[in-house]
Amino acid sequence: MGNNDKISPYQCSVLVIMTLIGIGILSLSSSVADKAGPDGWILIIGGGIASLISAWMIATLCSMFPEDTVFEFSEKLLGKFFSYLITVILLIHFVTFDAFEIRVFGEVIKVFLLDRTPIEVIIISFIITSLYPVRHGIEPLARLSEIFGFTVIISGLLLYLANISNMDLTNLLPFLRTPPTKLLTGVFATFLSYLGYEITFILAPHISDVTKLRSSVIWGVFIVMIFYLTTVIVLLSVFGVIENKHMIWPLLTLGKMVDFPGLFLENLESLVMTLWILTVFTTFAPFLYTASVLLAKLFNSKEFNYFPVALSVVIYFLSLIPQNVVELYKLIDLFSYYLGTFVVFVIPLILLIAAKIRGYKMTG
Amino acid sequence: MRIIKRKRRSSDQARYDSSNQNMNSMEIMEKVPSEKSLDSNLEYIKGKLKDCSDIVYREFFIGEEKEWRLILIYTDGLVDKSFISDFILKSLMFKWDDNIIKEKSAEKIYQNVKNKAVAVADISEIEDLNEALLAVLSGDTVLITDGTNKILKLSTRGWPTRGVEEPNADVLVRGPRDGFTETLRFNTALVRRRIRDPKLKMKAMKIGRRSQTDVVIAYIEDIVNREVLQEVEKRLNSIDIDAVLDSGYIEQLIEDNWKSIFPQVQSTERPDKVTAALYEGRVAILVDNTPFALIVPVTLGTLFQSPEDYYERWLIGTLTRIVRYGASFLAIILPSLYVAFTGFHPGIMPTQLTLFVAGTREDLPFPIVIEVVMMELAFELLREAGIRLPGPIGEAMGIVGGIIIGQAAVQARIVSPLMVIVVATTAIASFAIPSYNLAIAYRIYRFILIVFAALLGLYGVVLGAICILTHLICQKSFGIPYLAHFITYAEGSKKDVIRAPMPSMHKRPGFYTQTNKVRMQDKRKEEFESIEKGGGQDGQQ
Repeated sequence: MGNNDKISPYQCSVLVIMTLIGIGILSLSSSVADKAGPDGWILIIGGGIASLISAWMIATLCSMFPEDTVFEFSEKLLGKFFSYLITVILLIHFVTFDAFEIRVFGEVIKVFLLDRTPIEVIIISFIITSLYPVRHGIEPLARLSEIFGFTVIISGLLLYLANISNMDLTNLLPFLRTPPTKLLTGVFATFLSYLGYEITFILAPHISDVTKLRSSVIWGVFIVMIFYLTTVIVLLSVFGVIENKHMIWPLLTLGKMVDFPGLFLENLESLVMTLWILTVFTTFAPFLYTASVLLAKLFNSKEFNYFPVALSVVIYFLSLIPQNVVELYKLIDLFSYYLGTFVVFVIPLILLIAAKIRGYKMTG
Repeated sequence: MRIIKRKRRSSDQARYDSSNQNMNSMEIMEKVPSEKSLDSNLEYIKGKLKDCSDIVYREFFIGEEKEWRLILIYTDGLVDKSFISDFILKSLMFKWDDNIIKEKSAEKIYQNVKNKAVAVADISEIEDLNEALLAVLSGDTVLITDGTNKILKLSTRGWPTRGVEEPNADVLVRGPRDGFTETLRFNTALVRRRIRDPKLKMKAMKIGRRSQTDVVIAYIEDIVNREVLQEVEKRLNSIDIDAVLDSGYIEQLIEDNWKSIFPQVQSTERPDKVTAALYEGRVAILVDNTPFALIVPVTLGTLFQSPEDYYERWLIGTLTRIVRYGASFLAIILPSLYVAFTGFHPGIMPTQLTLFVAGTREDLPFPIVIEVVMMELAFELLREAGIRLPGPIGEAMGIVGGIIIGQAAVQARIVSPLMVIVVATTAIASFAIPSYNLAIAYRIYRFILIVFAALLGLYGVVLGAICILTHLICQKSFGIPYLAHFITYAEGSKKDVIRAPMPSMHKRPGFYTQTNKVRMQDKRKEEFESIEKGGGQDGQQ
């Protein structure tokens, strides 16, 4: 797998952070406003806590087997058949998620940047670019995440700071008026925008200090939660609930609104767009990498380089299946509700119980 | 064609193989033991050096009755002739004790020649005719005495050289003015003058089957990274080429990835730069016949450094560093951003700016991409032409090309004035980068990014930038990550991204060396702290 260097716990955190932040962030505030109105930020915390629990399960499980990816340790726990089954399910999850991700990405780019370019060109160019680091292995991916993560988070916070004069915190009132049942279903929906930490399933052999795997993954998810929370609070207080509900991508509008009197910094849409391309890239590439690793395991192959290429062809065709954006979002909801939940809750839970029964302990 | 080429290559190979057996680098060169008879030795050498008009054979006899025959062989022009006449020939011919000759013992005469007659600082005894040949061709003089198989090699090298001058390529305002020359020995001396430490090693080797170019690997024994050193030696030993005309040959033969646009070996004319690199634990390769020394391994951060950063105070160094980072960003990306914004998404720029740009581009005949490529090519043309012309004419050329043609092109409404500003800014930015080969790399990437921008706008530029970054991340130079200054957490690496204050830089960059990391002790800091404490107490009273 190209580069055999191991990643440090810090890089692991950054990798998780950047994998989590992806297409979701553009529409995050509009979806939570839709579900819980001014209490939307509570959903972010709720979803975050649910993800932290799930991430804790996966990371605990993985750090019991410092040498293994999910394919090997599920075989040790449940036998060959289930290990194949689980790997195939994970593979489908990663591939479909990647396909939807890139389709949404293509649609956004088409609307905002390249309205006359066919979406196929946008998707293909993106896939080809991401094949480059993926074929070099996890270490370059972590480094890219590191560089991009630094850029994205710093400039994101600067962007929010620049909008501080537009903020109106009364938009967050009334406080806690949403019925608890609605909140619960909403939590379920937002928790899906945290998907991405399941790449931990294959991280254990690649991290330099496996005892820190769990803490670094959990820190990663936690930081994303804080970042999401800031984003949602800023967007809700700037635009208010009603406007947020009607906007598809409120974050881009926020970039447009920046206005320093007397400065030429007026329209930062291009900056937001650039940063967002980077975050999508650092979601897409680790997913593609993870899927390729799993596929290579399934075929029991030492040669790695062909699998990302093969998978990217599959992803390309899958991404073109939905006819329009509405259908696309329906499919995303469908897949992430069932498949996503299954992957991040059911599978780790079963494996964790099996590991406890068989008496495996965490290293370190 | 291809078949012919391949055939020729194989026949070349055959020729090399056969020549390998005759005349080769020092290690493999076959030994031809010298014989006792002067005539047979001379016959061998003359046979090898047939039709070489620059070889001089000075045959003479010593003793009153010319009893004993000796011969001096040297290459005309490579030796100091007056030195040979004054200190070798004179003493051999005139200050001679006849009693020894009368004994007619070849061994005694030879010992007398060696110990009493030849007043040369550097002599050595050889018993190999091929080595003698090489010595003659390197500028040494060979003295063969009849009746003994021992040949004296006398160091008489002296050829027209350039003196130590200020280097043309790396110019500094503050710092030493001496630069390397074409003579290897001067260069090693310039380095040695700065490192009076027995730990500074200079391993000599010869590269080039025919050119037999002297190459010196310099390093400081207890700082250098052993693995890097071994890798350097391995790669240098694996070079099998007929001639090395400049260190550039070696650079290209030992670099990690020839497909990369970024330079993976640092080259410099400045001895202080080489010395600083040695003190950091890197390896320098000095090559004869060129003023350019090579330094490995190299990281991108190193290529942004200029010796002056360390000679001036730290704030100045930090400021110039930041300027260089900004300059390199502009040099790579500015034209492509211009293409992307004006050509693809004028809507996402601030309104005022959009209107202004549209105003300058009113009724221009060419699409924006053509305009950018045209101007960039014109600029490359100017630069290339300017380099070829001698100094003053080159400057005039710059003025004519840059100002007059630029102005005329704008007035004729071929290009927009903004375009000229963009291209000029890019050019100036690329001159601000201290490393010439890095600046060239930027030029190439600039064109690639323009193509990306022309195809996919801002999205294309971002994709291109991701590609460059990925490439840089995966790149290694002799096992050291190319972006080590920016992405590793080794001790002392971050302090050289900006130039930290000198008292705080007590460690060498941690990725270059593993063994000897501390370069400075902190005595003054403690002193300062105690003074500050005392001062504080005074203030309170």
